[in-house]
Amino acid sequence: MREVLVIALNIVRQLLRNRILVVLSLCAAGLVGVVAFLGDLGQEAELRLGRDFGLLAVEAAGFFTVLLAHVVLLFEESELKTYNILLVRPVERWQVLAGRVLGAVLLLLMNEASMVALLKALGWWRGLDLVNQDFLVAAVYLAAGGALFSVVTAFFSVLASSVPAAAMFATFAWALGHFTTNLVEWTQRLDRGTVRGAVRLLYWVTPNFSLFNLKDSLDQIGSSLTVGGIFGWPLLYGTLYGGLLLGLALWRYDRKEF
Amino acid sequence: MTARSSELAPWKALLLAALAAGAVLALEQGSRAQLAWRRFGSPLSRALPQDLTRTSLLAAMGSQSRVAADWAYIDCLQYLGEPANAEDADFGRVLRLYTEVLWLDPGFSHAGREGVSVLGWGLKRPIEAAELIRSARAWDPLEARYPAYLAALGFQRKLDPAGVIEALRPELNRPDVPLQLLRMAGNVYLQAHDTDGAVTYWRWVLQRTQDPLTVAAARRGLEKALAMRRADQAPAKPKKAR
Repeated sequence: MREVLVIALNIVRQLLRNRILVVLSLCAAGLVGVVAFLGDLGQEAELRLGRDFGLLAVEAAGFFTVLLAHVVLLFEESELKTYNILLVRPVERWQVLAGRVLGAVLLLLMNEASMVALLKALGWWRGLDLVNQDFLVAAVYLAAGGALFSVVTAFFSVLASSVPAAAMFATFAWALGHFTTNLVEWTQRLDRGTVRGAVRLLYWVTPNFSLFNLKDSLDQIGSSLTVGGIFGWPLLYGTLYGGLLLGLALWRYDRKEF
Repeated sequence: MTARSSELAPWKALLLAALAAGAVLALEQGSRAQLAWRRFGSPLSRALPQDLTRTSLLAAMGSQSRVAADWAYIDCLQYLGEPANAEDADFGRVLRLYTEVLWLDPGFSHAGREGVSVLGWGLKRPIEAAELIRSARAWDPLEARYPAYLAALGFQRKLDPAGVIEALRPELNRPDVPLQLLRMAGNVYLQAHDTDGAVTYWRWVLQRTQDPLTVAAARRGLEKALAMRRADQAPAKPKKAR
């Protein structure tokens, strides 16, 4: 595990050197500015709008952080051949891939934490309790969803033949992962069993990100913190599905020819 | 890439199969638990309102209904804030816009109450206001603040300003009352030509709020009510002999 952690930390350092975090931080700061503007538009509902758009910004920043981190790593690996240099050292392939996933997650956590801090400062400046307990819980679950997305992106970066293809597949999986729960509900009303079955299969196979979306019921979080099922199942799902996808990615990665 | 399923050690294949089964189980259980927990469920479980925008439908399908409701609410405020929309059948899309907000998130009761205030006492369309309340209550029957508005609309139809204000009094006293209601409830006095009632109401509003728009509306309302009272009290001018 030590090797994985060392690789992850090196990846974070490397991404920082690539100015990825600088660009993302500027985007995140811009998003927080947009949150302030949109909250202002909401007038009396400023607090609600500030929280909702704040969480949306956190989710969007998480998506771009993970995607960009993996895309840059894949580009360096395939185009600049950094992988060959890395394999000279006594590390296993699985450690490289796991380190890459963990590195992207660490960067995601850094970015999301700084955004939450920025929103807290914004709330303090405007005299609003923007970042309360419910907000923090919802943000933690968005980060958990982001960690799963890191595994999904790593999986596609192993599977796809080019950098744009990997980015496209990952983006598509991320978008689809927000729709499948509602698609299942929608198709329940249909008479066609085959359509229902196909959608249910899609729901099982694709990563489900709406399970981590607690922000749609933000007002209910505080009163339900003792109800373990709501908060426990998504984490268990993320662990199991992430483990499965990482296992498949490692299996393919072990046999990948560079 | 040369990976084949036969190259996967049996124990690894078993482990991956167990992880897949566990993931499906956790997904099913988690979805069920969250469905039972969520107060309103997905917007798609409610009847689709007329003229629903594609953006809202897409957002509802993509599990972003709350933020889409916020976006739709900004649309409402912008629509009301544009004077040119008075020519659009006297702000004719207000009911549709606020219904869309509540369809996306019935828990956004502030928007519902504000929409009812605008329709009922701003645009004087109590039938549409009652329709908005009916939709809101159908989607959120536990919201305890709508019945007061419904009762006030009943008094409004009978042109009973005291009844309207009495029904809305608990709501008007709340710190989170929609400011649109504060700005518009005084109009019912003038409609019924109760200038004393209007003067008392607007003076009360001026003491109660510091919101610049509401203060300006209260000052205008007070001036209008005082002018009407002066006109009522002035002795009738004798007709000039031809």
